[in-house]
Amino acid sequence: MAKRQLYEVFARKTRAEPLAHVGTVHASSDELAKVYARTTYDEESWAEMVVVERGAMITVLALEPLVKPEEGGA
Amino acid sequence: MTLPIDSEDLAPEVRKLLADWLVAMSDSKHVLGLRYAEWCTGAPELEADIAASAMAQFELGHARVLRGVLADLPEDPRGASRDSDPASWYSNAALDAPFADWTELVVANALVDTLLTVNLRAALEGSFRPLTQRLRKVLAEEEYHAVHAGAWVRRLAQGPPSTIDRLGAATGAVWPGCLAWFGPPQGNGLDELHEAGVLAAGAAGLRRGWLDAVEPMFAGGAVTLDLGVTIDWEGWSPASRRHGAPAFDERCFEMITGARTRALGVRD
Repeated sequence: MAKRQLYEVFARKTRAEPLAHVGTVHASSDELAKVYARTTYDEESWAEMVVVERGAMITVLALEPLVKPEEGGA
Repeated sequence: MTLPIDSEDLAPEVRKLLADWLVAMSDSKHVLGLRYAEWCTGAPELEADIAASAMAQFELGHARVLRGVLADLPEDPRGASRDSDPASWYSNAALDAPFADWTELVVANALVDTLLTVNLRAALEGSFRPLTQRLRKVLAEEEYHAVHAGAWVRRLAQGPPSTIDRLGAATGAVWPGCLAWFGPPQGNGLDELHEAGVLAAGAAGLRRGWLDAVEPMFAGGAVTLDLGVTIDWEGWSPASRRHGAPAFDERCFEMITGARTRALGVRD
């Protein structure tokens, strides 16, 4: 059975607005990600909504790890 | 282009058929909404809980829209017996009992929800103005119900053999009651509504439209749809579009009729 993936959800209320990140869903397929995004983030009358699988996003700046691995030596 | 039709343009016998069709549609959506809602915390994942809850809200809203059209028809068959007699409810047989597991919800989503949507699309493409004015938004809201159904059927069909067996059993249980909706070749009520311009298709066209919508959901071959099943029309009602009366349990009937809130004196 297909593994669940993390999808990032973006939406905008009007054509003039940029797409903005509104949340995430976990889903086992793109189809279910679309349904889950639509039903989970239905607080606005969105003009456009898209989902992007997290793994398909291209990192430009990587987050610094919260805890840095200890450097060798003392 | 066909001119719009209003209720006064229809013969009384056609209005009676339309009123019965509206009861069958709205009752099926009402009970489907209840059945979806019963799973709003029981789905396999949180997002599916939310989807079940959202679909429930839309089904209940759509039932209300259809009842608004129904209430304007003098042939509205609903009377005082609605509160006491389950036979006055025309909901699809697949919805008589709660879904025993998630597989049953998915199958009802795929077969029953889609059946209702195909009927509504034919009404939107028909000429009866009270419906054409209201159904565009309803059908837009239904779009993702079909996506949910197809995605979940495919996901379950890739599951272990026991899950595929459950999917097959649930499909086999619901399938004849959905085919029965379209009725016998004569006297099915849908052909008459098509001839009057209310529906853009008759029974055969609606059946074809429904099969065209559901067959791709099951295209993986894990579950075979029985296209040749024979329906015994003895006991089938053209009003309720089903065999027999709904076998609701007491709790369900109290919920859909509002019996437990009647004594509060706060209802319309």
